[in-house]
Amino acid sequence: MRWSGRRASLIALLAAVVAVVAVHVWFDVVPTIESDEMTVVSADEAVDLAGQQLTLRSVRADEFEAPKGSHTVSVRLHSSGGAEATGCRSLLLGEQGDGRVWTPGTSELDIPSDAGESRCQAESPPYDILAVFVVPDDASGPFWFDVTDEDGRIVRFPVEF
Amino acid sequence: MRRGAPWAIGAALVVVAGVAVALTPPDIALTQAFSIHGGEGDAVTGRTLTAQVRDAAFAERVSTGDWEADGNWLVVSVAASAPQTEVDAAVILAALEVGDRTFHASERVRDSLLGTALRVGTDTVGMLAFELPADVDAGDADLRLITSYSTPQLDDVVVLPLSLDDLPSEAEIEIVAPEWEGF
Repeated sequence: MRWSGRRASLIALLAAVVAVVAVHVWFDVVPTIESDEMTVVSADEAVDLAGQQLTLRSVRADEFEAPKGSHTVSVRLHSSGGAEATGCRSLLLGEQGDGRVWTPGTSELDIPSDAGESRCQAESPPYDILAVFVVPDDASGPFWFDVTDEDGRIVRFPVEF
Repeated sequence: MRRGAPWAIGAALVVVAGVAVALTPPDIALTQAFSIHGGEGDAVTGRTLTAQVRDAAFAERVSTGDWEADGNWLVVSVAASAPQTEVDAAVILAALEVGDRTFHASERVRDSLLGTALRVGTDTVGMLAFELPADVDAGDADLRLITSYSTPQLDDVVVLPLSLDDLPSEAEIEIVAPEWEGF
């Protein structure tokens, strides 16, 4: 094969390699990086997430009746709401030491319906979110409170009481 | 080399090959689940589930309020919780293995433990109902509890032994919705 023919083959091969790498990065690597995006904020700091501004209002223990050997942890957030506000994927409470993770047990507990929303609201006026977790008595904190939006971005509030 | 030596060596190699084939695990061993066994009545913990048999009985009829069905039912009461995370924590599949036969917990029974969200540090007590052939009323069984929609690969499966001998037999058992223990 002549040199010009070899060079064309080489260029075609390199172009194919670049295309394969680009497709892999675009479809597999970039989404992973985006979904792992996490912002750690201080307890009294307002943060933008899901098209709204969230502020941690309070954290209370033992506010509601819980099964024997456990207690409740109530986390209240204030949301600015807004026309661009969207829903959230999850609200989670995580233990900093053992790494145990709890989801809100709102539906099982005797919580007044007007105590707050149980999840982020889309296109809403300002509102409050109440997430109540049932944790065993051996989980005394400190905790993280994570809010994840629909795109996988996470805002992490430190929780101590 | 003596004339018989090649035959002896060949036969020895065939034997070695046979032993190697016999000892080689099947392909499924590369991906099969890890069964976590416990003693009868013990709480058994796998990666995603802690479970314990609390009670078991045969019944000629099960009911859930406005629904009932006759048959040879085995109703097992199980206490379950999530060891580490409550995200997607639930018993999705429950299988009863009796000898070489496997029976899945009935999905006709509303309010069973199947699909109930499990908690970390708090037991949820619920019932599983198995509709069995009439001849299954004794012997040793294994209750396999799975927290995914298919048999997991390279993950834990909690296996709870259950003796069907001498279990009480009742005319009717009402399936009670899962509840948090101590609430």
